[in-house]
Amino acid sequence: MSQLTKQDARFKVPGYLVGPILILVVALIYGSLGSEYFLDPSSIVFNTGRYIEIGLLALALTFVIINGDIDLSVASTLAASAAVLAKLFERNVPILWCCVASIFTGLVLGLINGLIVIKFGLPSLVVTLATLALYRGLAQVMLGDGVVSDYPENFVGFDQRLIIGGNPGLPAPLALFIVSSLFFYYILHRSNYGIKNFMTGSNPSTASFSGISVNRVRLLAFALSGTMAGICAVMITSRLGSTISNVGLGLELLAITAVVLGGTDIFGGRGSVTGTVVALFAIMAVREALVIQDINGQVQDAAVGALLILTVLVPTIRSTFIEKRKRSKRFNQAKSTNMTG
Amino acid sequence: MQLNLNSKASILFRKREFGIFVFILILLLVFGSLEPRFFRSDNMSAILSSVGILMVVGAGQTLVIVTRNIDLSVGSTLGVSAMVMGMIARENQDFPIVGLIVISMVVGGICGLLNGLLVSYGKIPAIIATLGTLAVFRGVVFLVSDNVQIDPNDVPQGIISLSTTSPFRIPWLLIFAFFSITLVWYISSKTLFGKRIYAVGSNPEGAVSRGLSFNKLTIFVFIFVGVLAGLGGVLYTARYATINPADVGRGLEFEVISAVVIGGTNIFGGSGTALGTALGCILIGILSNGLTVVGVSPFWKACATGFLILVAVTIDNLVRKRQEEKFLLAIRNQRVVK
Amino acid sequence: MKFISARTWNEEGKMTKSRKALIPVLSLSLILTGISAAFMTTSASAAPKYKVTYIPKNLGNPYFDAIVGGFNKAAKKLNMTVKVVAPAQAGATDQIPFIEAAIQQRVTAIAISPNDANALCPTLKRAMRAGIIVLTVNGDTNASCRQASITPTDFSVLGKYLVDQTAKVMGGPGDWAFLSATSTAPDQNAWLAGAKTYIDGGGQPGLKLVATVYGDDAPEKSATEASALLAKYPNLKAINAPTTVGIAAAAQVLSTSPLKGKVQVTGLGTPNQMRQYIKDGTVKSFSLWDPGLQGQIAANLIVSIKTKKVTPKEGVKFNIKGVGPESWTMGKGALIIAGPPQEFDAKNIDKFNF
Repeated sequence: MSQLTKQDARFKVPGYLVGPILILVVALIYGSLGSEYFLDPSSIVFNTGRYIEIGLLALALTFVIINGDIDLSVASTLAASAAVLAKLFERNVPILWCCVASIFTGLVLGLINGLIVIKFGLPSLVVTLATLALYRGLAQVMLGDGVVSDYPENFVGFDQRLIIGGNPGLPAPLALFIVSSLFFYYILHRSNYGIKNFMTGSNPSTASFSGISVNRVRLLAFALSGTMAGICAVMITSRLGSTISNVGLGLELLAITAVVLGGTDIFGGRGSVTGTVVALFAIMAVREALVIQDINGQVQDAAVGALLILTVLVPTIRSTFIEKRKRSKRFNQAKSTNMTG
Repeated sequence: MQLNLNSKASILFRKREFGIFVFILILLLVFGSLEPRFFRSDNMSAILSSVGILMVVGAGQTLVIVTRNIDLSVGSTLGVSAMVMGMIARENQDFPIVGLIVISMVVGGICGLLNGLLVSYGKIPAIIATLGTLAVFRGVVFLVSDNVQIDPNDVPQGIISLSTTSPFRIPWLLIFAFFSITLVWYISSKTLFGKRIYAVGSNPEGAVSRGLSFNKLTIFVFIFVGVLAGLGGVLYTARYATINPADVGRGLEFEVISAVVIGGTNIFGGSGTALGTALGCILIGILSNGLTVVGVSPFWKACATGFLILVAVTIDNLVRKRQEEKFLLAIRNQRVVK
Repeated sequence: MKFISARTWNEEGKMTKSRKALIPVLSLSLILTGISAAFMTTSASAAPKYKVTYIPKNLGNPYFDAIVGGFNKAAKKLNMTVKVVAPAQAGATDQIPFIEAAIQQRVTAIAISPNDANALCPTLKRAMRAGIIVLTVNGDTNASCRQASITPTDFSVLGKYLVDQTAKVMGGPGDWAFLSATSTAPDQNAWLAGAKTYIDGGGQPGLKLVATVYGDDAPEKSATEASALLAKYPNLKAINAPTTVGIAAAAQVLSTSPLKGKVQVTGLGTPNQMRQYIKDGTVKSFSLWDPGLQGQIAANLIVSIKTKKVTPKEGVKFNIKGVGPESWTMGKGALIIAGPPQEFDAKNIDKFNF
């Protein structure tokens, strides 16, 4: 039991982190060789805003996936929350309340996801596939073909703001991400809720027999993911300075990629926040390294996709080889003992 | 007392497709009465053309989902196949049409093979493997085409005519769609192989322990959906005549999976029919076209689709729960009688 | 907490087998990066004087390929390299990562065909602050975000031109619709606004504009929108698509529809894409201009600005030897208009190749 709450004294690199770290390192080397401006601190920090949104979504998704569920609707929840923000702003509601409303919308939409999954006993894959369409539809109905764009000066450009000044300084999104990562790390690896999460994911029936309210755990995870989407909606609106109905299209795939790349098992029961964080930076490094070579977005996506496959494939192939070798060793051993015996 | 479960289950099952059919009729009535133009022949043919491609790919996706897998890369596979075929057509204007169709299907099959290998021997969960290949194949489209789109000029007239000309007053596009659905129906209900596919889907561990070649089966279903996606690429070219590397097939996977799920296929595998998928495609097509004709803002389309999926899956679930209850009840009664 | 924990070192302090597998992988990747770095440095040795990044609206659109052609033609004579990067979709903010990459690469100039008039401003302003010349090509942003702008033709009259063009192919009164690009496209929106002003002011009174839909410069969506127009408006007589992607899609839909010939298609399109629709009678006529000319103007203007020969502002004259008219005079906000539109129909369609 102490294993669950204390880390061993000696520092070990867990196996699942090897892949992402490797990718991160190689991407950094590749990028810096490709352009002397790659590691320029100011450009790094100014470009992180886009990825932090994916990172925040991925952090919350880690919970959902460890639970054994999945939430495909995070990007649509983001869009619907952003639409609420935009629509309220158009009606001259003060921007602060618009942001609060956006986060609240995310929370509500996430709860709806959870309630449908739990009350109707439906698989989360299908429910969130439906809400992916439903919530995106809500955003489209609210915004139509139009754009909302005259946000106040002090609201726009959140991603360029520095918490700690100087060069390079610490940009606000990065600070937010660090804080969130610590927060999620604490919840997942140091609190009771986190333990319940893992148990629900690895074996729901055993978990509920052990007295864990499986439904509450899952509902909370969905609510968390919805709330994060609402927060990201505020961030993305500030970064872009405008709101359009297809905002965040496709982000859910990137977020899921980050989670799985970080070693979380898609079927639940295994995973870590550290993995997600490292994987996010790895994806960031790969994409920036490719952008600097003027490799276009589709090929960048392909590279990330290939890395995703390799990260899951290589350990499996390796363990199959190890198994085969162990088996043949044991077979040979048995044969030799048989011969002498 | 003989347990006549078979008929009970089959009645309930048949009710599922019947239910969709009834719903389609209701929609037709509603849209038709709101706007009589809905029944005009050119409108009806527009609906059928839009669902033709969906049906072809959906037929393949049905089998994949039945085996407890999923193929998120069908859109990109369609794109690669269409692009390769288009590029060959552009360079060789006299290439036989049949040859082009075969090439497209072969390319699709190769993509499917890769997916199948990753999922079976690579032991990568299908959702992740195809999430990766979704991106990789789209990158391949881009690299292969060097970012140059295929113009209507480059597409041979024979291909484009697939969407208009017809041997028996039905465009070739629809014939291909009908053929794919029938093929899947035949495989699933009339062949032993098909029964194995369903067995694997409902109980993978059990099926494996009985020696069914799990890997070969998985590879087959992925190649199958890949080939059908290749055929879909031909039909796409016939319909749109422009193959744009960034746009071709984008978002198709979502539509296809929605149609399959609405059609009654269980996402956890083991059950689902080609007919259901076909009806699901038609339902989506009618809904989408009907909303436009009646004048509803197109932005409600996404909401409607999402809502439909929820309704379909909830009904499925309720039906399945009732089925289970009846099954358990029947067993208990049998014991009591004995 | 079932982590796959594999220890880096076992008790004897030696690396365990599983870690040993990492060594060849790590070294292989380092070797690979070394090789590719060597390639990159050798190719960079013949560095040109001017590095320009051109960002069209999106990838795979032959219209922008024609502009790129113009760029390359001029670049050869100017010791300039032109890199073309673009997003897959013409979203309002999708070009931002590419602008940022160009800033990072410290290019001489960024030429961009913007997807939105305002969304790109913060990033473009950053580029200008970093000393990069910013030009908009084919469409314009807010004037404060770029130093000069090149438009293919006079936008202020193109709206009227489109309406008149529609009237011509309709040959009588009736309903018609616009099939535009993205809802935020500054160029198309300028023309739509111009058209509306013309109509409101009494232009072409027999024509009734029943709808404006957006195909997002995506072939599939444009085709779907065109079909939806046909389904929704039974009395539709014409579709005007002032975007090369939209007009091709609309023409394709109509050429295979029983309404071919009853509903006219016109607008702005490239001859190569539209040739077969002229020949099969779906389209009577459409228009465009020479997109490549813009590329040539942009390339030359960049060099002139960089060498301080020209300061872009209203009233300044600019010319290129051997290309175009004797000179262009910059309009308000340093705007250069390349030339008048060209109409294409069955008589002259075969003379053009772009």
